[in-house]
Amino acid sequence: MSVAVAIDRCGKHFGATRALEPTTLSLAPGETVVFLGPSGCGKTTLLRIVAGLEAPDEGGRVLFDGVDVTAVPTEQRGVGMVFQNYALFPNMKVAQNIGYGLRVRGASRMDTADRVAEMIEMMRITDLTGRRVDQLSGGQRQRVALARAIAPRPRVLLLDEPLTALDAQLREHLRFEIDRLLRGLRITTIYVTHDQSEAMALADRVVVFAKGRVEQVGRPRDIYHAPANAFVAGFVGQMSFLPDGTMLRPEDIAVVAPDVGRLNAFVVSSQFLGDRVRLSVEVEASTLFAEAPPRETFTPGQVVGLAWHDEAVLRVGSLAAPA
Amino acid sequence: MRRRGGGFHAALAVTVLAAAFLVLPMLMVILVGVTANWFAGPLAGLSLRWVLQVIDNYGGTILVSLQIALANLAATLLLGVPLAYALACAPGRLARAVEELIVLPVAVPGIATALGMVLAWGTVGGFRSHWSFILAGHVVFTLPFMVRSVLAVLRGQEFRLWDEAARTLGAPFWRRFFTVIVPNARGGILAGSLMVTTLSIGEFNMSLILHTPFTRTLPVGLADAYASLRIEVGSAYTLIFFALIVPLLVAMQVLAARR
Repeated sequence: MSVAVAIDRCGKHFGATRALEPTTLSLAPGETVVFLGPSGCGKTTLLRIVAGLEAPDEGGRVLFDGVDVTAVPTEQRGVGMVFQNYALFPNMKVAQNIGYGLRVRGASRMDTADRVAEMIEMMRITDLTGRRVDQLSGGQRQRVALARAIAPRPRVLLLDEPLTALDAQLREHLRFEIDRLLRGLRITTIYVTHDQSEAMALADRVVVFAKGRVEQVGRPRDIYHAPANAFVAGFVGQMSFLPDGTMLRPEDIAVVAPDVGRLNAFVVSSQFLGDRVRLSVEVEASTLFAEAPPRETFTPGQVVGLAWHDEAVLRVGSLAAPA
Repeated sequence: MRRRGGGFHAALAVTVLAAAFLVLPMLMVILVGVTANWFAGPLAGLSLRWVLQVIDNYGGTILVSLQIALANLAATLLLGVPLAYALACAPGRLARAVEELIVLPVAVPGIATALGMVLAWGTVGGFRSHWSFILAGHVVFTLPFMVRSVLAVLRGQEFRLWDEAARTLGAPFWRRFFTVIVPNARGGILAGSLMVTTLSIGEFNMSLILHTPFTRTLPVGLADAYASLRIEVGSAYTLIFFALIVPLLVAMQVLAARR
């Protein structure tokens, strides 16, 4: 059912602008790979190339289970796609939207109804079946869009910033649901996002993009703790630079009593974030971030000690960057 | 209620006068059309005699006009909707150029376009004497209105996104066109349909050049009636024209208000 996807030297120019450098990646059957990067980094372009909605530049190929599908039009590629703005058909009710891909592929009315019912149950949207699309909230729309993409049993599932249009709380909630769904389906999935926490939470592997090229491919923990370069390190989380150049994540720097830690620092400011306190501290004219438990309070000018474990030091560039 | 200043009343008076200036002739025409003898004045009595005479003498022109209007509607739908869809999907200068090009016949005087058609196609077989010759002129003239109307709806919404979604779900072009694009563009298609039908029924400039004695349209017959017969006949003829065109105009307004 799920296929291996191979992306072979796929680059893309729009006119004279290069959106994507020739990129080679492969996905194992059933794997969830997240394309992570800022807007305009080429991640969506590559997703659209896999979908067949864009053609790669000359020489680029897309293979599903070893079969070259580069010339196969989108409508015959057997992919399921979820769009940032849902792209539900306003002229159809929820159930018709979900069943569209099945009807188009010639499924009978009965089979379609069965599969639609199954999807509706899986997505927990039983009470929405007969609704019009414009009567749905953003979260409900995205559930319907997911159900519609999955219903025809696609070989590859492609999600293009599916949670970006939703508010923060709903985003987190749906993230868990998508995770559960993907684990259950075991379908080869590419998920595009600019949100690093989404990438960390969902990915088997993360591909970090910047300016049209792949900066690093790796498991979420590797990307976070052993970033290939300063860009990746800075994009997937915040960084604190010690005067000697050592890089640490703010949450790895503990605030302790003066002279107890490895360094002493002045508190510049502190922000109460609810679940923790984020401190901006100064050490020998360099400013860095540290974190403390939420019930502690600090005043600017106060002297504190900073402590960290050796393994918390970021090993930037210690993993080989992808070819 | 808010008190209104003198400016409001002055503006209202101007508006009412202007409206009266425009509406009065039409009311006159309607009245004349059902008056037994206009020279004796309306008090001499009302009559449907002239309306019946028009149907007797010019009934054929009404049928020709309706026939052309329907055929014109079919043609502009078949050509205009897919064309608008293609223009909405195609980015860049070429699409812009095509859009400008098809609007050209609206800007050029109808008589000039019609003369051009006679020069180009007037000697081709029996085309010149067939009613489809007028139809061709009407299609050239009204197509841009259909395209513009549909294009406005297509540009205002996420049609490209819907189209891409339908593609990933496995729908080939015509399937997408009829199940996703057309149903969601029906507001623009309906408005365009009413527009081209209204324009076709009322079109005079081109029809005057393109018609033959056997393919006279309603407006051409109307000009003939006013030029050569009693004023009551022409007026009754106009009355029939109103009966055809006013419901279409009202439908257009209702449609515009609903959007």
